Amino acid sequence: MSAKTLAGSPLRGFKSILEGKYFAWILLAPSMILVVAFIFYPLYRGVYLSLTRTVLLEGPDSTFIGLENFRQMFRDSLFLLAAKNTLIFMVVGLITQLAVGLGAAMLLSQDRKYIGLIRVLVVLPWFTPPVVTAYMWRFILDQNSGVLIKMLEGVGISFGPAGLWSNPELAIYAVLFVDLWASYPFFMLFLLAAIQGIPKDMRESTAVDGANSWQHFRYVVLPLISPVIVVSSILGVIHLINSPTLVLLMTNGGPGDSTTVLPLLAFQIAFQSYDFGYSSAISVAVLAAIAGFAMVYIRFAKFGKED
Amino acid sequence: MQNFIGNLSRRTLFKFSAVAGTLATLGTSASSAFAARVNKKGTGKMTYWNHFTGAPERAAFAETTEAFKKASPAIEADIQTVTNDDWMAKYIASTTAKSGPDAVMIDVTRFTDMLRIGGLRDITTYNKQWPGAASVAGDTPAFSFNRKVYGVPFFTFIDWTYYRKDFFEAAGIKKEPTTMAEFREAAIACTNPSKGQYGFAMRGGSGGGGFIVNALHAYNGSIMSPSFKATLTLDAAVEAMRFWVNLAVKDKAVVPTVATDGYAQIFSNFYQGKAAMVMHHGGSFIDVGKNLKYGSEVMTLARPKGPKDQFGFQAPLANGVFQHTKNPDAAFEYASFLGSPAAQTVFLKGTGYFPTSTAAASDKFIADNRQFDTAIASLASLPKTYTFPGLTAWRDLTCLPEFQKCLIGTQTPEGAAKIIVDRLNVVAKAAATANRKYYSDNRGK
Repeated sequence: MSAKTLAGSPLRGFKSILEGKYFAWILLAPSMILVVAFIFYPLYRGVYLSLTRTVLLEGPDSTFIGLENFRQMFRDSLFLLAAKNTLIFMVVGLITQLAVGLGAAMLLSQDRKYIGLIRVLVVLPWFTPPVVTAYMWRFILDQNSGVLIKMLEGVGISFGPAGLWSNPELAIYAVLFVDLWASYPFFMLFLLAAIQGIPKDMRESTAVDGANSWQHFRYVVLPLISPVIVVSSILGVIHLINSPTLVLLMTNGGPGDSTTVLPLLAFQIAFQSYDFGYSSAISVAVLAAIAGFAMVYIRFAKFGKED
Repeated sequence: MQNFIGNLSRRTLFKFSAVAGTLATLGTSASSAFAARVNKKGTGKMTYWNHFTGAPERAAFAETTEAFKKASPAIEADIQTVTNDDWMAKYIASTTAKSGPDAVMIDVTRFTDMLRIGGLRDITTYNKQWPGAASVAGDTPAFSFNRKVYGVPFFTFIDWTYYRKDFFEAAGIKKEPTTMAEFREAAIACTNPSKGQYGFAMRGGSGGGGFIVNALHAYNGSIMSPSFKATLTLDAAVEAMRFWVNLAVKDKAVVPTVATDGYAQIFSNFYQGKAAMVMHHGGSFIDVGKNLKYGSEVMTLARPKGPKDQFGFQAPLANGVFQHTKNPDAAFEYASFLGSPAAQTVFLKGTGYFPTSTAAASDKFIADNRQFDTAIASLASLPKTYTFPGLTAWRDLTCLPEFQKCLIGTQTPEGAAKIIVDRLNVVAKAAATANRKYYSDNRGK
């Protein structure tokens, strides 16, 4: 078909569409619709609800009350306690998971027999559903019949007759221990990939220069994997702040309110008190905290590309 | 005859036609009305949500589902279990999305909340046309509001106590405890910390909120008036909290892990001989019998009497139809099947849950079993449960945490009682407001 005949045919219009600026928008439209429907609209509803009084027992209608829910939040001692617990959960969880994940990655980066199989086995806890993890460890650490508790008692370590779960000071650390077991493989996978990306002859070079293993790790490995540490840490923090499943299933915030964390509090206020306005305000506050970390994440991701 | 017809004027003929037509119409209406007295048979797929996770309960459900398949072969029943922790979240999500199951289980303490949230369908007409309605009529009012029926009673939770007969004998207890004071004495007598044995496995952890409500009611009587005025006094609340907290903290007659012991832990302690008594309801009867021998090792016992009322409740459980179901006929057919004597008897024998059907309650399984004498006696003495909007949130988010704080020593019974009473007043005010709004929104519907 010659150019002349094409110019006069209906295909000409189609070609101009293909070449026009609107075609890009047509291609983007399905993705944009999905993003709007599943990200922006729920986000908008959440923020809107946080500015309303929406108590399902009074009916489905919402009454706009401005920032009242946020004012209530900072007067609520339970919210402040939950914020403190969330901070503990985040800081202790991040440090322990990163440390254990890094240690495991260093060990598993060595070329040994069956290393592939060992790597798979070590990652298994991360694949275990949180419900299974929670109930399994609730019993393993049970004062009356827990296997690990009995073993620790055998070597003279006791948590008293009330046990770990009934101790308001220790219960949150028991949950953190279980979260460590379940989540350190996440860090390990990230860091193992980063470590394996370091050329092996660098170790030979540092050895020639007289560096011992610690010096090689401190001055070569650590700087090279630091971008991955930062990125995985930020993702880990988002998980730690935003995931109430283990706390819900293992302690439900107890004993008393000693292990209540912000996402659990939001869940309880929404689905037990049916106060979706106040619950949304708490969720928006959590969202703001996570958004802060996400911004850091995006910044570091961009930094990585520039490198 | 011919003359008669021939003599008919057109006007007379019209009159006859009109009368005949009216009679025919009335006849058709009458036959339609007769037909409408029987519910339409359901067909197609029907999804049912329950919150039973115990092995005996699931086995009983499997058996009743098989029986339902035979009784209603045109309905494909899909029985789904939603855990108690997730129940309201999923129910609210389904109600908001107007898409979910066809039939749902209704725990009586959740009934008003589930109704206000809007996921329960008015089944008054279905219920009137169901021949089995009379058999469960005694418990139907617990699932009715504003003269509308929302649930078909399935069985009744009858609260009772299991006790280790061998422990009682070893402790020299000759008389079963019937009062709070006797219960305390028995618990103390059975306690021997050096052997790791305690008098009572108390539920202070997950699901323990109901235990606190039982305690408050036993010391106060009804804690909420029908017009949503809180009637719980501070004195009664303090006494109730003191009794149970002291039993654990001062008498040390309770398993020390009490503050976090849920269902699994209290029964594990009971089976392992760490506790002489455990409070639950008839639903664990078969399970207890699988672990301990009735008559020689374990017995059932009526709950002790408090200053104002017996400790515990008889609380029916029902099945209803989801508001947004596309298959209400099949949903009601299933709910009413579970309300039938046959299904209730299967559940009774599989779990121990006491039937709401008068016919099923006369089954030999109950009549010939000494342990069920406790249930029959309790039916006459245990208070009937009551509910109000916001009960479950107050129970689980105020009463239970405050009680736990007392058990771990970060709160006093007096301090906890004050918070519990104050919070109940707030809940009552909110319930009254919500009630007025609900009535005004639903007036004429």
